[in-house]
Amino acid sequence: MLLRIAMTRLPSPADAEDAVQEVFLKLLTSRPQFRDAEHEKAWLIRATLHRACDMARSASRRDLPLEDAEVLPGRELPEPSPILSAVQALPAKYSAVIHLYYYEGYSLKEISKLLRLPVPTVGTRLSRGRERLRQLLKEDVE
Amino acid sequence: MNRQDYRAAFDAVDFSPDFEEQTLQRLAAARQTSEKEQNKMSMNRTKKTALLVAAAVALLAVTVSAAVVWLTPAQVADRVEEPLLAEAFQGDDAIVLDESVTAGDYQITLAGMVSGEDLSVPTDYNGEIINDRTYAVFRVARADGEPLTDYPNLSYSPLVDGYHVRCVNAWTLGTTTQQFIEDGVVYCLFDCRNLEIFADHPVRFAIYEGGVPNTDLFSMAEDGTISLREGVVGALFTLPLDESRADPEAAQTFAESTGIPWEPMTDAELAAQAEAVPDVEKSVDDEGNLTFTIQEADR
Repeated sequence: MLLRIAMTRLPSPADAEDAVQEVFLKLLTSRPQFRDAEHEKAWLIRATLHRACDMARSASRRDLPLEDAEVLPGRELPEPSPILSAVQALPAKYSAVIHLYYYEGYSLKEISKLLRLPVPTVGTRLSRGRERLRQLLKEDVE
Repeated sequence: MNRQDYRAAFDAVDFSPDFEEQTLQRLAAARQTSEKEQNKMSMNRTKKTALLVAAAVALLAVTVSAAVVWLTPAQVADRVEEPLLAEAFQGDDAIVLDESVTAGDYQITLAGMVSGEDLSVPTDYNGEIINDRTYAVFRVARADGEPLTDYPNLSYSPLVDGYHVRCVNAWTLGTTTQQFIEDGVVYCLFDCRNLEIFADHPVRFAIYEGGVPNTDLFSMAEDGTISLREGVVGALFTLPLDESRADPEAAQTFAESTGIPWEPMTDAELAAQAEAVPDVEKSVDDEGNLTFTIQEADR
């Protein structure tokens, strides 16, 4: 779950894996107190989103022009699916809601609890996120 | 795009197959560093910081399982005020296992073990003090993630392949256990006579629902291999003992000293025994009363 959430912000699976590992290291070192499993889940989701956004921001600052970039040996990245690329191109506030709704199947109320947002805000973000996806994918979004 | 298309796009992402293992290693390394720092800061203070071992197994799952904060074997020994043992659990001879099995409502984890002389406060076992002992730390949590508030009704016992389960077990090996509950997890420090003498046989550690090990709970194969019977809730771990430390002579002497038949019995042998006509002993006392004594099959 966390890996895929990280993939909504990060271009490669390796980056998503790094982000999730760092979240677990943070859990190890900061030892936050949780009321219950749901509270812990919400913390992990938010921490993963924050970490992935931070990593994406850092990467964008040090982006090189394509012709200057070296091709690293090892894992070659396959062509990402149009849906994945479109979600990654959304602003983070939309992609988080879109992912939790479409992939995890959470209701607006559940997403509002996980992300600590009012339900109407979640609804608005879902609707705007869908609209942006529709424009990016040039197809209807159900 | 619909929900199915969306899921298919994300399911197609190729994550590292060894991601869980990598994560566990990274967390274990961080834990070791943290422990070393703590030891430097306060060698004599009870280490109260519980450290994450990792529920990384669940990271790729659809739902996030609770990332459990567990105590290390050394911390468990500290909690029960066994500082020498705590040190031994951090030494080179200690074995870190962290093997988990889900049995019934419980997730049972054998965290680690160590063997040695004079590592704990001496205890009298039926008039004998046995200083050379094996120590194992395990923890029990509810499989559904809910906290445990009471001790589960489980028994703990070493068993050795090639010996009858009634002969070599916790009840004959001079066992003590110390338990406590923290954060909804039961921690148990188990110790008994040093098991290394049996190290040329597979040595098991059984945690199960039931009492003294018997043939209703465990089966013994022809080659002596011990297994939990079907339907018995529990876990059977194999202890990675150093075979070079085996002392077959001492092991055999111990087994025979129990006074209990030590040779394992297969199901076929048990069935044959059950079918055999029981021995009936007839006796007449001074008053002429006749008594028949039926020798029951040894289970």
